[in-house]
Amino acid sequence: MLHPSAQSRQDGHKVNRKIISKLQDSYLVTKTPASRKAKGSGRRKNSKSSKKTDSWFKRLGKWILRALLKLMLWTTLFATLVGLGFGYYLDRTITKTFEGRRWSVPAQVFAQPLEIYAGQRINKAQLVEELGRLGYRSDANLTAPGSYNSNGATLSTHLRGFDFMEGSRPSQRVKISFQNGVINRVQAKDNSEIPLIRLDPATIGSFFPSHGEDRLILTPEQVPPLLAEGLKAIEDRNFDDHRGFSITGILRAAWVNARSGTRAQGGSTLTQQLVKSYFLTNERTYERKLREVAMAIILELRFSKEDLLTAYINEIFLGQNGARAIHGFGLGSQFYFNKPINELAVHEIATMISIIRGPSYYNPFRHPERALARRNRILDTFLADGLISNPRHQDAIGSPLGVVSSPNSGGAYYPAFMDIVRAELSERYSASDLRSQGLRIFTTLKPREQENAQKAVTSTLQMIEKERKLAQGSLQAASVITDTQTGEILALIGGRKGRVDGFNRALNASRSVGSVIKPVIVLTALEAGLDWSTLVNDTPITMTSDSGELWTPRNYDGKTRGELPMIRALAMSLNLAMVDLGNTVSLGEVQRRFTDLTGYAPKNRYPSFFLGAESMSPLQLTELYGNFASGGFHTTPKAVIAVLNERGQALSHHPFDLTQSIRPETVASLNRGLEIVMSHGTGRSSPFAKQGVAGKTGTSNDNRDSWYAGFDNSKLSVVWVGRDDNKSTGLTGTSGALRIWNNMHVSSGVDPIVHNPADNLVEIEFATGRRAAKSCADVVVIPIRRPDTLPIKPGCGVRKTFGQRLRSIFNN
Amino acid sequence: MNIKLCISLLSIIFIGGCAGNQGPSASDSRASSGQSRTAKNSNKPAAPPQPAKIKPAPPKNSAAKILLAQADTALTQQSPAQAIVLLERAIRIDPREALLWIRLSRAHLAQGHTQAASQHARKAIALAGSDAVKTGQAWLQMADVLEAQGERQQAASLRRRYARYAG
Repeated sequence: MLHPSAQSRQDGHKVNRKIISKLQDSYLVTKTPASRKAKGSGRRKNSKSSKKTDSWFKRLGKWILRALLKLMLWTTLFATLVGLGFGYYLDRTITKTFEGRRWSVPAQVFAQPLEIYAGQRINKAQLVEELGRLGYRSDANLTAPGSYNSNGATLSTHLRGFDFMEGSRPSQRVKISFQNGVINRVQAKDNSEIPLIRLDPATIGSFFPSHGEDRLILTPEQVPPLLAEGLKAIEDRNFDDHRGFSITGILRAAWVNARSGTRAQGGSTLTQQLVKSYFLTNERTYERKLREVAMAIILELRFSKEDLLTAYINEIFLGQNGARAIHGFGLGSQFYFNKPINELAVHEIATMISIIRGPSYYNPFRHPERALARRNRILDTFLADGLISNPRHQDAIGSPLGVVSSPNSGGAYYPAFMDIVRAELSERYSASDLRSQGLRIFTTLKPREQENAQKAVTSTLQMIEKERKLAQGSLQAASVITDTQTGEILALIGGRKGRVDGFNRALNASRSVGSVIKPVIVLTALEAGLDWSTLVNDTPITMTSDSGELWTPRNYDGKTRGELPMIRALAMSLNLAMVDLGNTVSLGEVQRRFTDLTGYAPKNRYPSFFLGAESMSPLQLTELYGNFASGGFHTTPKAVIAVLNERGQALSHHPFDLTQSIRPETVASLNRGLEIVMSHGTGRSSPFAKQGVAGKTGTSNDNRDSWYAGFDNSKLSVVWVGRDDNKSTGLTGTSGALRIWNNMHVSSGVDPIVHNPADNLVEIEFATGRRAAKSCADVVVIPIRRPDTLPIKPGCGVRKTFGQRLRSIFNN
Repeated sequence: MNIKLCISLLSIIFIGGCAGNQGPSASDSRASSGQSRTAKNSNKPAAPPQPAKIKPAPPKNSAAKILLAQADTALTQQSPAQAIVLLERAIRIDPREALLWIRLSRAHLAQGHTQAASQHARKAIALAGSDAVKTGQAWLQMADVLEAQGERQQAASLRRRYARYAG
C-alpha cells in the first residue's frame, strides 16, 4: 500500500512518461520526415486497433499538444530572429551615433588677437583687462600658461600656446614694458627683444546644432588626470571593472527607492549615464532602465574604457544658457571659469564634478551655497581616495567657488556679431559643416571695441531715458564700427543688451535714415562741378509727383534762410536747401551715385529721397559711409578673415575687397565738408567736434529715428537710436545717436583725420560762402576749385587777385 | 571799344590758362611733378644713363616693418598666399602705409588676381600722399598690373614717367 502522496507521485511520473512519449512521438512526427514514413506503416498496422482503443478525446489532446509544440518552436525561432535583428539594430545605432557624436564638433569662432609690439598704444591697465577677458590670472611665479604678473611699469605674462592661421605659437613667457600709455619694449624670458607677438585670440562663440548643444571637444590627452579619476571616484567607483552596468549599483538604488517609495536613485554607471545622454529620455521607468543596460553593454563591448570616459567628459550636460546647452567639461570650464580645462585648480575641478548631479539644483550662479557644500564633500572624497594630498585639500576647501560673476560674463560672447559671421559664412558653408566639422573661424572682431561700444550704448540709453523721463528700456540702439581702410567690422551692437540673443537691429532694423543721406547729394554736386561756396536756395518749395501728389518739405526748425553756400546747407542740415541742391543735380543722378556706393538701387524713387526717406539698416549705412571714410573706396563690411579645418589647413581666406568709387580729390573735399559739419554744424555739441572727426547726424520724421555716421582716421561708426514699435523718441541725431558715439570715445579719445596736402584750400565765410581770412569771424577752410571766382567779404583784409580785378572790369 | 575788346581777349586767355592748370587730378599733378623732376635730372651734364635706385622710407610702425620684410621673403620664395596673409596682418596694424598696399598688390598679381591687384595699387596711390617715392612706386606697380591686363602701352607710359622711382 502506497502512501497517498507517493501514489500521486507515481501517477505523476506515469503522466510525465506519457507526455514525454507523446512529445517524442510528435517530435519524430514533426522533425523527421523519414521516420514519419517508417512510423506511418506501423501506425497504419495499428490503426484499426487504435481507432478502436483511442477515443476521439485522446486524439484531440494529441493534436492540441502537437499544435502547441509547433507554436512554441516557431515562436522561439521568431523571437530569436527578432532579438538578433534588434540587437544588430541597437549595435549599429549605438555604434553609429557614438562615432558620429565623438566627431561632431561645432565650429569655433575667434576674435582678432591683440598684437603686442613696441609702439603699440595700450597702457598696462588696458592690457591687464585684455588678459582678464581671456581668463588669464594673476600669479607672481607665472607657473603655468594663462597667468600674468604686474610689477611697476612692466607686466610679465605666460602666454598660452595657440594655433594661428600662419602656424602654431607655443606657450612662452614675455615681459612687456610701458611708457606713457605705449608699449616701449617686449622681451623674452632670456631678455632678448621680441619685435612682434600676439595674445591668443578670444573664443567668441561656436555654431552649435539647432537643438542647442554646444561643446568644446577634448582629446584624452587634454583631460586632466584629476578630472578623470575624480569622476570615477564620485560617479562610478567600479568604472574600470564593470561591463557597462553594476548589479550592486542597481540593487542599492532599488533598495533606496523601495525604502523611500519613490524612484529617487538611479544607480547608473558612467556608461549608462552616457547612454542616457545619447539615446534616451529622462523618464524613470524600468523599461527604459533595461534598454539603458542593454545599450551600455553594447557600448562596453564595442569601445575602450578610455573612449567611453572621454566621450562622457565631452557629452555630459553641465548647464543651460538661454538657448545654448553647455555640454562637456571643455566648454563648461570656459563657461563657469573662463579658462581652458588644463588650467583648472583642484577646487574648480571639484565644482565642475559637483554640477553633474543636478546642473540646475547645483547651479553655482543661482545656488552657490549648495554648489559649495557639494564641492567640499567631493574634495573630501578626493582626499579619502588619495587623489589629492592633505595640503592641497586644505587649500581647495578654503577657496571660494571661483566661478565668473554671472553666465556669459566670462570670456567673450557676442551673439550680434556672430549673426554676421553666420550670414557671411552661409555663402560658402552649409549649416551642417559649421555645426559638425570642427572648423576654426578667424574674425575681425576686436573685443575691446565691442565691450566699449556696448557699454556706451547701454549707459547712454539709460541716461537719456532718465533725463527725458522715458520708460526704462523703451529705447533701443544699434551700431556698427569698422576699420576705415579695410572695411573690416571691429564691433557690432545689435541692441542695448549685448550678451543676449535676440533681434539684431544692426543687420535687420531697416529704418528711415533722415539727413545722413545728404552727403550723397553733395558728392553728386561736387562731381558735377559745383563748389562748397555755390549758393543754394533755402526757400519754401512744393513739388508734384507723377501721380499729382504734392510734397512740401520743411526745415527742422520751420524757418527759411534764403541763399546760402552749399557747405552751410550741409553742415546745418537744411532740408529746403538740400532739396534745391538735389534738384539742381537731379534725383536720377543722386540715386545713380547712391547705387554705385552701396551696390543696390534705392527703394524710394521720389524727391523725398533727398531728405532720407529711404530705409536702411545700420550695416547698409556703414557700407555707404565706408566710401567716404576710406578715401573713396567701396568695401562690403566683412567679419571673417579665414576659415581653417580642424587640422589647421586653410579652407578659405577672405581677403580685403575694395573698389575705387570716388576720385581722391573729390572724396577729400567731401570729407573736409563733413569735418565742418562736426565743427560748425549739427555735430558741434560733440566734445570731439574740433578734433579732426567727420560725420553727419540724421533724424527721421516725427523723431522716430536718431542717426549718426562719423569717422576719424581709423574707425568708422554708425549709430542708430529708436524704438522697436517705431514710435517717436523725441530725439534728434544730435541728442541721441551722437551722444552714444561721444561716449564710445570718452576713454580712448579720437584719432584725428590726417589729410593729404591740398593746394586748393580756401578760407570762406561759413554763412555766406564769400572769401575771407582767418582773422574774420565764422570762417571755415575748405577746398574750392576756383577761388579767384569767389566774391570777397569786405573788411577782412583779403585783396582781389589780378584776375578778379580784370573780371570786375569785364563785368562792368 | 577796341581797348575793351582787347582787355576782354586778354582776360579770356589768362583765365583759360589758369583753368588749364586746375584740370589734372591730384594724382595726375603728382605725376607731372615727377615728370618735371625727371626733366631736371636729365638736364644735368654728366647724368648716368640708368636711373638711380630709390628706396622708399620703410613703415614707421615697427611691427608693420617686420611683417613687410617677412612678406617680401614669402614673395621671393614664390609664396604669394602667405605674403597676402602677412601683409593683411600688417595693414590691420598700420592701415595707411602705402608701401604695404603696394606689396599686397604685388602679391595678388603674383596669384593672378589682377582685379584685386589693380584696386590695391590704386589704394596705395591714394595713400601715398605727398611721398613722391611711394607715389612713384605705386604707379609702377599699377604699370605691372596694366601689363598683366594687356594694357602694354599704358604700362610703358607709366614706367617711363616714374622710371626714377624703380626700386
